[in-house]
Amino acid sequence: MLETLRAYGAGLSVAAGEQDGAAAALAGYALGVARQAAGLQSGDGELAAARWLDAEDATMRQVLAGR
Amino acid sequence: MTHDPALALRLANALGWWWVLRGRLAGEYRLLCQATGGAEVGSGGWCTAQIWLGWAAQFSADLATALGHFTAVCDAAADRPPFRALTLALAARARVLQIMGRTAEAASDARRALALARQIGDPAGELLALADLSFDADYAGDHHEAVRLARQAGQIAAGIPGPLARICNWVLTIVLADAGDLAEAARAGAAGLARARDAGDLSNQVALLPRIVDLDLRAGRTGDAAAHLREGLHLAVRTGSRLELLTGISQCGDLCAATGRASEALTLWAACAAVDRHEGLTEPPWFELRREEQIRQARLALGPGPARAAEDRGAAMSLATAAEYALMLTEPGPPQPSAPGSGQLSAREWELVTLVAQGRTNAQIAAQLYISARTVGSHLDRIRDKTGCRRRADLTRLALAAGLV
Repeated sequence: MLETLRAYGAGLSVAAGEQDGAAAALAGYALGVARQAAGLQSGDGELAAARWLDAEDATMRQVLAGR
Repeated sequence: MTHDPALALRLANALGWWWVLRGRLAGEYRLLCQATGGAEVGSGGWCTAQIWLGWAAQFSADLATALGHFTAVCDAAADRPPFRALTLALAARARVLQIMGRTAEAASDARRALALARQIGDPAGELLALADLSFDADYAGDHHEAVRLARQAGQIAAGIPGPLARICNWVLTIVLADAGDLAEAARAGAAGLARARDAGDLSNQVALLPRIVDLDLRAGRTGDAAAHLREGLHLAVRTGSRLELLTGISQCGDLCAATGRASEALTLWAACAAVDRHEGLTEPPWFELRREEQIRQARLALGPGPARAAEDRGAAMSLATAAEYALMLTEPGPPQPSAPGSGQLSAREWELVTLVAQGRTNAQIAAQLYISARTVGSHLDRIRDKTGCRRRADLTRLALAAGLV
């Protein structure tokens, strides 16, 4: 279901000619999450950081795949 | 890849410890290569990515490639002041060199890594270097020093990513066991496994389980050994940890030997030896001596003909087939009956099942049998309908149960 919504949103951004801006914003968001989570991996926040990244897995994959 | 290659590299580098934690690093090797492709050689991001790439290759048992990545960082750092990626690269390279049996070079790298880590205040590099030096002392037979260094590494806690901090339990378990303190080793192993499970740390679980299996076997707890072995094999397959998979297959042979199954033991040891030869992996001399004696006893128990047949069977197995065989042998309870409907398979269909079990892809099977890949797919669909075996691993198991591989 989330993948369907993701594809639907991507289609809308293409139709509006905003795909580059949306991709850059998503990439910036992904990097921000990854860096914050990485900062928590050395202490008591490790479990929460890992779960956060688990939840954002599809976003990370999308950004790294450049879709 | 994102439109911004520099951002992709920063993102991949930031995700590295999470990939390690979830046992995914080996599977991300190609993606990391792509992310690193456009980076300036020797830049900070490039050096960090080389560390991840080296560890990914090491998990996959590709030691030459791992060595290449770590050495690339050391070379790039030649004329620069020490920095964190260099201490990690030196310490990581020391571990690979140890596994390759190049102990003098390993000790030199580990000592240099420790000095640099202390000079620049890098606790992660210091921990890894102490772990390496502990193994160096262990290999040299100085067990007291090995345990002391492992405990010293375990006291470095601040500023260490969780998966790295937890390797201290793994190191301590190994060196305590080698020192003959089996009870303390079992305690360290159990504590480490509990910590790794609590954190969802698959990499440390997959590293620790074979050590715990070893302790189970040495204490004669064959039931516990089988359960830990099975868990470790599943995790090694899931995380792509080929070194631990090989260890698990080898230990399954030990378990079979300890439970009176000499034929299965010889098959599994022969499968490991074939993979070791193919991939240029070496074992320590003491291990080779112990294995030779185990093989001699199993051959005596079986007799020359059956022993030869068992070893030929193992030597022809792929790593995946041997892993599936080890999983079959460690199943709890009585042996499972063959898949219903397997009796209805035609000779041609059994031929396909055998080729799948030998690790061939559909395209390779098509080329070998002079049929189209589409026809291969149709055959496999019919086989699945008749037997209910949905995955290729299930078909491998069918062939193993029928003695076809």
